Amino acid sequence: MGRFRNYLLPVPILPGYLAFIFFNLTTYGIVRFKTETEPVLFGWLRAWLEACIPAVVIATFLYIAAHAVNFSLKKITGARKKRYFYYIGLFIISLAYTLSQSLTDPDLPELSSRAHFRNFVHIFVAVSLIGNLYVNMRREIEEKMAALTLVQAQNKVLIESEERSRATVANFLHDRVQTALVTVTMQLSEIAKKISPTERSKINSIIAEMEHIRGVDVRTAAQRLSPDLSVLGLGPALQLCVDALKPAIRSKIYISDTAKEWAKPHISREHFHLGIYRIVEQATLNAAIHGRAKNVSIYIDLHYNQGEDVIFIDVINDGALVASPTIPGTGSAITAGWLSILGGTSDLSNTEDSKVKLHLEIPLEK
Amino acid sequence: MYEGKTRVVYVENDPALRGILSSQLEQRAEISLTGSFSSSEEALRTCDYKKVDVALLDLALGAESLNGTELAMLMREQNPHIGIVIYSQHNAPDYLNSLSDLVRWGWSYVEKRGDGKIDNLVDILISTSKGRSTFDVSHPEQSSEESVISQLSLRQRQIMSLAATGLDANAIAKELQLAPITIRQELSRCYAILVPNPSEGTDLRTSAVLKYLREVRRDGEI
Repeated sequence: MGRFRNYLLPVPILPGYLAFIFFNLTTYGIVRFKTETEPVLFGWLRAWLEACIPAVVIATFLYIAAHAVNFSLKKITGARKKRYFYYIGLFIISLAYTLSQSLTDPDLPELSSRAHFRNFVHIFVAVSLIGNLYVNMRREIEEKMAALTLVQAQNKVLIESEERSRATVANFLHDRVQTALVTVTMQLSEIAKKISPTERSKINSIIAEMEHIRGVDVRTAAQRLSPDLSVLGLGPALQLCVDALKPAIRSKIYISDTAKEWAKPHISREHFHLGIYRIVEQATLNAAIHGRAKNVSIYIDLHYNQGEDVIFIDVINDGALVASPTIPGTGSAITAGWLSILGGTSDLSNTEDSKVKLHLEIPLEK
Repeated sequence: MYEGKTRVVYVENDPALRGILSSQLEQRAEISLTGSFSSSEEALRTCDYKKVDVALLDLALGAESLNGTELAMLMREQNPHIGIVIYSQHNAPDYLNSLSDLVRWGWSYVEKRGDGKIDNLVDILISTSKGRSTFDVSHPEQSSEESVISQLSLRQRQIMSLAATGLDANAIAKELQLAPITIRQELSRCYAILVPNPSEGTDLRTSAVLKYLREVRRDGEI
């Protein structure tokens, strides 16, 4: 049944199909009705007008017949019934087309009934083949589109689920662990006040180290897990991200004046900022890990392009040039996943000055 | 001000921190802690803000609660002159800039720190209650691009590794079959490299060992 659910006649190509019949009939009509006694133009016009009426009637009949078959196929349940009805529909349409040719072709009326039948069989086979080919092709496209949509939906769910997990751990580190460390160090400070100066200096050194762990290590870990975009905005969050990758790779971030306002924290832009953050983070990591790059420059710009605001991002590194086509498994999955969510495009290429450039264009959400 | 004291209300959802800081504030002669609350709702329900000079508010007060900024706005509706001190782990450089010019006066931001001196916090509370704004966050020591370990010789690294296990100079000397005076000289050089600007009251050996261990952990990280 599944196969014949899609066995609807090729309705989308019917206008072209009918235009072909109309042209065919009027052309035959011109040959049939034209007389030698009239001037060329007038004779041609009269012949065309005479042929036009049966052509319109037949084309309309075929159109209605095709729609009737199509409508009936939708209503009929059961694969076998659908298949029978489909071929009966094709039979009727082919027969109608053969008759319409018989009415208008100047040579056909003189032909034998066997020739008419052969003509009908040819048309029926041709229409069946074209119909089957169209239906199969459409079914394949629909199946592939459905699979692609499913993969994209699953990818979105996976990315969002991962972000939620990251945010949960980051919040735990930020709120619980940092607060616990602040509390412990404050208690230690209180104890240090009551002990000898020598021991106090040791405790103070430990307090300083704990503060470093809290203020740098825990905070950096929390930021890398889930950037606090609602407080920091995109620019400072990205700066913290690339700073954490030093000294393996040195990065510079340039945000244009037009993009600066957009990069500020705002609840409506948080998800979009997060996508850009992850893409730039991944591009920088890829440059360091796969390309062995030492320097990365990140450019973020906002342009009005073809009726909408578009964010342009270039991540340029001095690492190994990219192979063409790109080697699978070089960390493009996260970028592709976020781009499918945000609806942007990317292009990875080598520049003339032997650098690697990832160019992204992402339209802003309405 | 009431009887020469600045009246403070404190809202913090972490009970341990609230207890310690409340206790420290209560001991200050220039401060009168009029209330200490665990949530925005409790603070709004219980407190009369017309009798408060300054509020010390944690920024994140739990997922189900108003945050410190939202709570501060509601307090300002009741008492337009109340000073606000946001006390948070966030190192948010643009926090004050994100506020409207109309509310920014008498509004400060202080980063929570374990080594934060209570005197400093008290000064900020008092100045904020008088309409001034302060932005006080730490500037943690940035990791240098080159690991400090690379500045130590192989011998110095051996000595610091042994010092990190708790051995004193004599025991290290015995382990490495060197004179104790040589070890002490090398340790002094190590301290100068690892703790170049020691703050007052810092134990050099403890600080140097902790820094050495941190740098060893960092080595090889990406």
